[in-house]
Amino acid sequence: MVRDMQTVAGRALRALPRQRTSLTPALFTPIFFYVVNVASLEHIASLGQVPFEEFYLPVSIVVVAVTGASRAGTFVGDIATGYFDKLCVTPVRRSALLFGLMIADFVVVACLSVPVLLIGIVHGVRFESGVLGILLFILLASLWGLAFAGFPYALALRTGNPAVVTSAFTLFFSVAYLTTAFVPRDLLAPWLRWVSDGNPLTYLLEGLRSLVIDGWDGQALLVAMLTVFGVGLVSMTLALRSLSYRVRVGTQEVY
Amino acid sequence: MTGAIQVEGLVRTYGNTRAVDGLSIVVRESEVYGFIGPNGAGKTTTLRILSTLLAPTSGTVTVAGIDIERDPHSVRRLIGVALQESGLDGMQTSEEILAFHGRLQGLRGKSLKRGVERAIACLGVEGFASERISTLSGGMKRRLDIAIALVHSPAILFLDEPTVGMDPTSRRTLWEEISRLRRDEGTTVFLTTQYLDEADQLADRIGIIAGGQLKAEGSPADLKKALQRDVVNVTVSSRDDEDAEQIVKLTENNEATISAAHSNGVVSIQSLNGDITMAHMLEIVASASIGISDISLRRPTLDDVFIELTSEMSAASTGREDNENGA
Ligand SMILES: Nc1ncnc2c1ncn2[C@@H]1O[C@H](COP(=O)(O)OP(=O)(O)OP(=O)(O)O)[C@@H](O)[C@H]1O
Ligand SMILES: [Mg+2]
Repeated sequence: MVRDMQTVAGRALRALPRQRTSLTPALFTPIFFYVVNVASLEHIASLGQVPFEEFYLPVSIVVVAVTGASRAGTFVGDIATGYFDKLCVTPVRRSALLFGLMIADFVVVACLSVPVLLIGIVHGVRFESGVLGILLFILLASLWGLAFAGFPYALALRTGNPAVVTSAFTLFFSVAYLTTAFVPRDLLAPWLRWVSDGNPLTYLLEGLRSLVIDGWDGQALLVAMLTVFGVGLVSMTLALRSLSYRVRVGTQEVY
Repeated sequence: MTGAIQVEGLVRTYGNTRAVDGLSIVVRESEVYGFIGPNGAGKTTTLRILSTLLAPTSGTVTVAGIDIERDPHSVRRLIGVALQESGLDGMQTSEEILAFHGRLQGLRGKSLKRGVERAIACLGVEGFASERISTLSGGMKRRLDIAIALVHSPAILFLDEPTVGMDPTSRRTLWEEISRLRRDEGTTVFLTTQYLDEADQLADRIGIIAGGQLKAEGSPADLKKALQRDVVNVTVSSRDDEDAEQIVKLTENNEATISAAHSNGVVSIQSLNGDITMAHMLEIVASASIGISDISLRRPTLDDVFIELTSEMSAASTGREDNENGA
């Protein structure tokens, strides 16, 4: 099982340098929004205590974890071409097909967050929690990438339709604004405050921010971890269900 | 005796269509079994079930003695499959995809290297081993696809119309390779094809399927013999219709003759036994002193067998589709 996962992840990672066209935007979109949003908003949004470039950095990292991460498209492609069938006649464990790609996602997110972090540091972001905090920051972001990835995989496997998977990412972008992306909770309109309280991203962002702004805040980190874990549990359940559906119907049923 | 593949009462339905309709076959060990039939006969559906990709609606299938529904995982370790329509991952090179599939089959280190080299060699993939798959031609992809099915030296090989799109040289090479695998490694091969010469050349036994049912089964020679339809052609040297008419009259009484007709001075006799008809013909022309310039005997080809067995069937299946549309 572990070897199967390595093999599957290996295939995905080998393909990466050959998929420059899809990786480039995944790298530059978050950097672009970081630079532009900081430049336009730092004076009105800084509010004295917290520099906006520090407050906003975790948002960019979370975006990286989502745009750059998913190899779910690989599944859609494999289903569309019928290559998925060819994988299914091998004795590979079905779940290894899924988890192998997710491992690749994890690696990609970890790699992509480094340049974004560097841009932040160039902008003057200082981690209160030090180098160890930076590592934990990357780890949390990558784990989040993994937890979130379950959703596009679930859709990819269920529908076999690239358009659906793309719209899942669009949907995510809306969700990413229904939280404390730009300003602290207290400054949100009451309805948005209410929505953001129910948005798991809020708790992840708080955890990530605590590493930058406050240093080591055990409670914030724990809550962030639990949030990632909870989201992961839901998304993995959905993804595994879709996988067993897809294995049952093969490549012939596509929406 | 247990066969390498045993199929009993296999049924697979898609909605109202019975794609496979009560199929029972036994494929022996180290045998090449050719599965032929018209488009939509149920060949691919059968092959997908046997290779664990599709669940049967009812019936039982064992491959190498293992029930495909109870333990598909073990079956997958023993089989190699090249599907009729299968995509490959365009991002990889031929060599990489072969190694990837070798690993998925559990090969590592030396045995992996050997498997990849062998598969490359036997399908003539050398020329494009390190090229990105997305840049290969259709026939090259087909060859690579089959090479992938061979990389782990499977005991049982499933090939769905393997030579479609291949050039004649590649076809020959594949035929030789299939014969070699059976002879030297005892590989059992289940292959479907539309090319009857291919089945004739390669298969030890042939099953003819139409409308999801087995219409006939046997060695190519047996099937042809069972058709009992030799054709004897006699050309009258005078090209005279009167002489030809006379020959027709004289042969009609012979017990081997099914029917006789002539046109443009050529008499064509459908015969149950071509040898008897030939001998009889020579007697007739000698005693009636009719000059002939040519006499020939044509044995039935697999094409004749195929057309004979499947023609009534395709008419029937058209009728069935009409009913469905009406419902
Ligand atoms: N996924 C599917 N959904 C519905 N019907 C199907 C499906 N696959 C096959 N069929 C039907 O099942 C029947 C048998 O199809 P199958 O693909 O097994 O034929 P075949 O013998 O392989 O034909 P060909 O020579 O064209 O490859 C056909 O009537 C086909 O329309
Ligand atoms: Mg077919």
